[in-house]
Amino acid sequence: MQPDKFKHISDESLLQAYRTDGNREWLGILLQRYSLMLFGVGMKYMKNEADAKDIVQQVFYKAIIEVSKYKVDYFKSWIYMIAKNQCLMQLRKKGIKTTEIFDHTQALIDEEEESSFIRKREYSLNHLEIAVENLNPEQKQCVTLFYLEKKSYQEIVQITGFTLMQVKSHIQNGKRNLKIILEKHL
Amino acid sequence: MNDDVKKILDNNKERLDDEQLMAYVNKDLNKQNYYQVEKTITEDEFTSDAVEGLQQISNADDLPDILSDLNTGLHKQLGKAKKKRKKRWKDDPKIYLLILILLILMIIGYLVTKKAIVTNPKNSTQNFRFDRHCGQAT
Repeated sequence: MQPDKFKHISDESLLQAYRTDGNREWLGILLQRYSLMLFGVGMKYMKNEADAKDIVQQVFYKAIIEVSKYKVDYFKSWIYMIAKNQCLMQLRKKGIKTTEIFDHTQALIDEEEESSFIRKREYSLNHLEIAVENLNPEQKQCVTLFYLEKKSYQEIVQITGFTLMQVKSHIQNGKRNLKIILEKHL
Repeated sequence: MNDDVKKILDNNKERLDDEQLMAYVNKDLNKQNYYQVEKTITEDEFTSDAVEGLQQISNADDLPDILSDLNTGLHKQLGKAKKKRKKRWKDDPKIYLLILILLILMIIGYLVTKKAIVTNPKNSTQNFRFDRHCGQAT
């Protein structure tokens, strides 16, 4: 496996370089960064390696064609949405029911909203402690073990007796609920 | 609780590189790096989905080969796009050379004809006179 020689160049700079001189090498470097992650997303949805590989090539094709059509500020979110949509469309073709197809331009807005949430609010330590106390017991336990005691998923599984999926879910939902509590009450 | 509680709201969108991803899937990381990868998984949906999918691979040792196939496919697609671009006549330098040669030939042709008319004006007009009776040039 070759190390990424262009690691020091950000996604945004690569995209800008491509837009400036039209050299597809820049786009190649950028897309190659996400090959493995896209394959992982393909595997998650398609559940087989051949289909996942096809998905990745379809995503590459779509990205090469469409990257010039949109103002892409958050390339990572944009390409993730393309991959997800491609998977959902393939599953639909196979007659498997799926959730809604996402608008990949929406990814750009979500990303901005997320950043603005962090930027706008300067929560005090006290606020956060109160919010953590307001989580349900499972979420509070998992969030505390993960973020404050820096335990791995597997260690939390052993400590709590939850399954791995439950641990992940409690941490992610706990974090989401913390934001909601802070927005509502503080 | 301590200052770490503030880090709960961190929005870590850093991208894990291929080595980190493969090492995580192969459970080949030290405790601290393992935690850092899991923190990214928790905070980034793309990474979370990717890792979940990669963990379903029947043999994680195949990942470098799979990655190599994917990147070969990518470069083929980029190559095709390049070839398509090259086929556009505007981008082909031979077209410009051909146009230049044609222009030179036209100029030479013009000069030769002009010289012939100047040196022998009678012949040139006679040669091109049309004989209405015969319907032939005489």
